[in-house]
Amino acid sequence: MIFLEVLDRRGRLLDRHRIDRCPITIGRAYANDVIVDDPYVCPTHLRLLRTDDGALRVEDMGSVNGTHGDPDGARISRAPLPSDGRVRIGNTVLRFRRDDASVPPALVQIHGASGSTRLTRAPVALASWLIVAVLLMNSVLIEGYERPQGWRVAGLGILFVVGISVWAAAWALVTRVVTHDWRFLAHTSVACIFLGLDLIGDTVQGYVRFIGAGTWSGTLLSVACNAGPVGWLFSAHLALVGTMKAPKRLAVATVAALCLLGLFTFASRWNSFEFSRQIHFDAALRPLPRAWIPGAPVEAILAEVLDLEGEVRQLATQKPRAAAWLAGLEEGDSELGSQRNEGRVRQHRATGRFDPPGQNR
Amino acid sequence: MSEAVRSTCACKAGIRWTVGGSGPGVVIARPGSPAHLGLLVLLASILGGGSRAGAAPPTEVVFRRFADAVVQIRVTEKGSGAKAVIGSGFFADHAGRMVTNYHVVSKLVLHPDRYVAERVDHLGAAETVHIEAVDAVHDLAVLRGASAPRTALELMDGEPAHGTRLYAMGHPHDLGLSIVEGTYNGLLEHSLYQRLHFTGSLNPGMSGGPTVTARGEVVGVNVRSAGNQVSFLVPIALARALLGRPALAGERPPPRWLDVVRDQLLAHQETYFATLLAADALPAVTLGGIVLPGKLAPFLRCWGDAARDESKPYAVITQECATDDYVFVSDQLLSGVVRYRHHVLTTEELNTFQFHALFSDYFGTHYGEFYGNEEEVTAFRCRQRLVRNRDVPMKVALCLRAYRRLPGLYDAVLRAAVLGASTRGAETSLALSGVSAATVQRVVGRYLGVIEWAK
Repeated sequence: MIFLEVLDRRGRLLDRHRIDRCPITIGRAYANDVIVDDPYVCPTHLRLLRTDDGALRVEDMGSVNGTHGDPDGARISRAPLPSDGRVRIGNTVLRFRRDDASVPPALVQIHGASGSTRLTRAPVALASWLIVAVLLMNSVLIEGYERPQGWRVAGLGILFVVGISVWAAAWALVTRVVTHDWRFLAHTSVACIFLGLDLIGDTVQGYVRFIGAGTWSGTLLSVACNAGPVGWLFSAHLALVGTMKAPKRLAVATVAALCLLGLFTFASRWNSFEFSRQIHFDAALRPLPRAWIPGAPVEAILAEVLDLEGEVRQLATQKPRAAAWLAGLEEGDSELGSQRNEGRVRQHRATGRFDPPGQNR
Repeated sequence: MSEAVRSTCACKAGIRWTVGGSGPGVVIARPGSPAHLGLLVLLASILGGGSRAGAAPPTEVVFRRFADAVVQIRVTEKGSGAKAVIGSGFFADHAGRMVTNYHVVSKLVLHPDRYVAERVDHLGAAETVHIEAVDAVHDLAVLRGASAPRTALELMDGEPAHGTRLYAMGHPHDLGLSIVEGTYNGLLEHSLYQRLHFTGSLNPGMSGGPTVTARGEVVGVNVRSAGNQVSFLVPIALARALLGRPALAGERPPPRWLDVVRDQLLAHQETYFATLLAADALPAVTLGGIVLPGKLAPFLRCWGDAARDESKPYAVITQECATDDYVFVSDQLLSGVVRYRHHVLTTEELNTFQFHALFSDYFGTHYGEFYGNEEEVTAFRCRQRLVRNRDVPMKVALCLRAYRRLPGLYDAVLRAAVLGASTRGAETSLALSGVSAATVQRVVGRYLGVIEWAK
């Protein structure tokens, strides 16, 4: 007894047919023994025969696109069934199997497994909302320095609740599509716990930036404090959605967190890519007992002047970006490139330099 | 950075270049100073044709006598032939040398290949002129043309008496040669850049023109106006010194004026910071229990405030010191400014976390903005560190940017936060413009060295 498996070109199994007699015809027409729904397959495409010695042969019925060996692609008109039992017609692969061929074991169902069940319990989910109260206290008693106004605190609280609910609802929708289960409360507790972790991360990061600003270890720790909670957030939401195994889930969450962090960093530094008269430095100050605050002698910062001098000298040798850009623009479009309103500056076509319009002195 | 910067910008907007404009509507003739009284009476009776004895000579007489010596300076773009800058100047000797402001001819200094200067006399005759000497620090330039003048003005020796009637001449707004009456109000005291205070309306276009006594002696060169008849002149002694310098223009190869300007700026900052740093201990001021740099030099002006806003749970004491003038390098770059500002923050209401959130925001807020565009300067680059001066921990950020056309000159900003108290702190900004890197090191070291907790 043999079976004919119909696969698409990517190897996904579409159909399986039991072959209990020979010859049989294969094609798109209804008269065939095995019908293949592929527009590149002829109505009657090929035949499967058994020779006198019991071996199987395939025979092309004069098809338009032919019958090919798979994966070698050699065209077959009449030939013994290849040793690996596969031929391709149109965009479809036919695989012949004996009834003793093995099949892979069943996949383990992921959703509903592991720690996500704890989060789905209502008391846990409701308790996690207490984090919102902690965040409000933080914004009033730690980070806020103006006298708190009731309506402002209430407004912030409402903003937190609405924000968390909308975020959780979006994830719940995804979960519903994938697993036929909403898990809204579990998603809200993930969002709340994330905000709690983020608060801890921010606090640590504040001190790291205060003490280690401008050092590599400080920068790395800052990245970890930012990316860690975000990575956990994505990983926990994906666990609730339940389609990925832990290693893949962690990888996706880490990549998503780093991408987001990169995007925010890029957005916040956007100005520094352009010419600016502003200075950029890390102004984070945190309370610490005087004796605990590390400090190099003043000479340490003075020594950096030489370093800075080298760096800005190097900058001075580069062509100004705006001028270079405008010069390029002028080559392409003389009308656009000839005038710039900003600062009432006029560009000279010949040199690409700027000068203010004529003036009395 | 700082408002050092902002203030220079404000100066540019608020203090208009040069003098001019209509004179006061009605000026009550005042007697001249006793020293000049006799001469003025004589002059008036000879030339004035009917003016009362004891009054200054009529303005038209002064105008008629000296108009020949005053010229308009036009700087023109070679390619388009368009006027780029218009100012004034005057003949300072019969050899044909003219004095004007550096800022009138700065384009010629910066782009000698693209601009040309000419002088136009009050009858409209034009002639190309060349730079013979510049003094960018005092905003002066000497020009020379080919032909000799009919009239040259005398440069005054010494100083007129306070209140002397003076006449400013020039070409305000390209409206033709004009004369403006005003009075002499002395040399500005404690200014980094020597300036005479002239009470009279100077207007754009009069820069570089002469302000003369009734006898035609040049007291100063028109340079700047602060509005409402408050105007400033460059003392003529500085112009005389420049005229007396050996001419570089005759050298082969001819000097690159940009290099001359750079050397002048470097020498200038060396000199005034040497004065500033000469003292063993820099002057200090104690604000809210923290010792901070005080008025470091006589040429700085300081002002402060300790406003307590009852709606705020904290108090801020502010003190700010700055030079009151600057060096014009180009339209886009003003230099030679020193400016610093302290904020001392105290609170009895906030906890230490809240206080440090407030402190961070003050420390991170930019202290104004420097002038200068991308053609003139680079962007700033910064380094930051926690440092300790004696037992005072500080967070310090030091930023530098380079002048593109004037290698060796930099703008620098220092930001420092004084740490170690739970609900009290100070943050200070120091902005230096047009200085060498060595000067930055010296000044920042001394500046931070002052800071400590009051005993």
